[in-house]
Amino acid sequence: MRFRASTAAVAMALAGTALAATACGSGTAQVVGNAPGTHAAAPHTTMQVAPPTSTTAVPTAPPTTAPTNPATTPTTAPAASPVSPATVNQLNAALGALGQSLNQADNDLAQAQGDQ
Amino acid sequence: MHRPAPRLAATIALAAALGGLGGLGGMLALAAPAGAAGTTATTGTASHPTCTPATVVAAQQQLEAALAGRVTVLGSLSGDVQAATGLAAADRATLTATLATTSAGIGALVQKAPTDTTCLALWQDARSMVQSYRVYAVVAPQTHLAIAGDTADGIEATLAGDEPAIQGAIATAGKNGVNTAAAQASFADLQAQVTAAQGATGGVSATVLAQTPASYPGSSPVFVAARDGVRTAYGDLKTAAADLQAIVADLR
Repeated sequence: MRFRASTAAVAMALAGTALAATACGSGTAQVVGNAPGTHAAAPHTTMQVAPPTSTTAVPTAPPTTAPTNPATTPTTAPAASPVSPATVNQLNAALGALGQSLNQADNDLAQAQGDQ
Repeated sequence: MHRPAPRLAATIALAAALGGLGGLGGMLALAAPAGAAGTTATTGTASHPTCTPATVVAAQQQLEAALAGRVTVLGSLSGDVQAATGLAAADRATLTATLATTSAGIGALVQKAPTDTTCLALWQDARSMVQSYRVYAVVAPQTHLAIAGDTADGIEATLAGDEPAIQGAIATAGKNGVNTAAAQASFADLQAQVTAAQGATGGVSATVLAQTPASYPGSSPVFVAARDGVRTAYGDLKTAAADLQAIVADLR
């Protein structure tokens, strides 16, 4: 009986009909349809109504807050340097060392002309 | 007056070709010992000083001073190699080995020169000092140009490695409404400068390190070309660094 009721519920759901398979107090499953009066128990009515209500409420909340954060975060992103200050310092130090080595090479070549 | 024997004439010619034997004032350069007897002889050029029994001590002192000068230079070069942070490990090892070999050779002459008692011995040591080691003509420019070449290579690699991050930062700024036209232009120039620098220094270190004392005098134009290439790259890299600073300022 339980198997048959579940099967029927799946079949009805696939058919697009709003149905809910619920367990009754007797422990047996019962198929409830749109037709009024087929299921009089109060809990069954509640279970049918509640899901649509919550379904519409849940998606609404996140979009309200989610777009706000991404909109403010990128505003500060461009302030970040594409290279770190340490990299800039290293670059300048390396350029200084390169210039010094070149000057020494200039002196070497000038001296070499008069002294082997 | 002695007439130079064929062997002596050859040594005189060799000394003249050396162009002064490392600043020895001509005392050893244009004077050569005569024959196996170890006696002295003039070159027949009265205007040049000669090594004679009377001037052996002075010539010896000149040689010792020339050797001491090379010892000082070699010590300075070793310090430069050790302090050069931009030097590639393999090139550092090559230079260290070259300097060690040269220092050992010059050091041996430093020990020998005070024991020389003839012009022949002094002249041979002076010739070895110059021709075998070429401290001034080869080792010194070789060392500094290898350091410069490797340092330039390192800067080029750093900037080229930063290019994706720089480009990404410009793109991010553009998406956030920042006018990145100037930054993009600076970035394009930075890329061009780095590429040009890479072209100017490609293979420089390997080329200069391949020079040996035996390469002289052909090594001289090699060193000049290497120096010119690295100096060109130096200008390119300074421009690239200025581009980078402009980009940072534009994105701020």
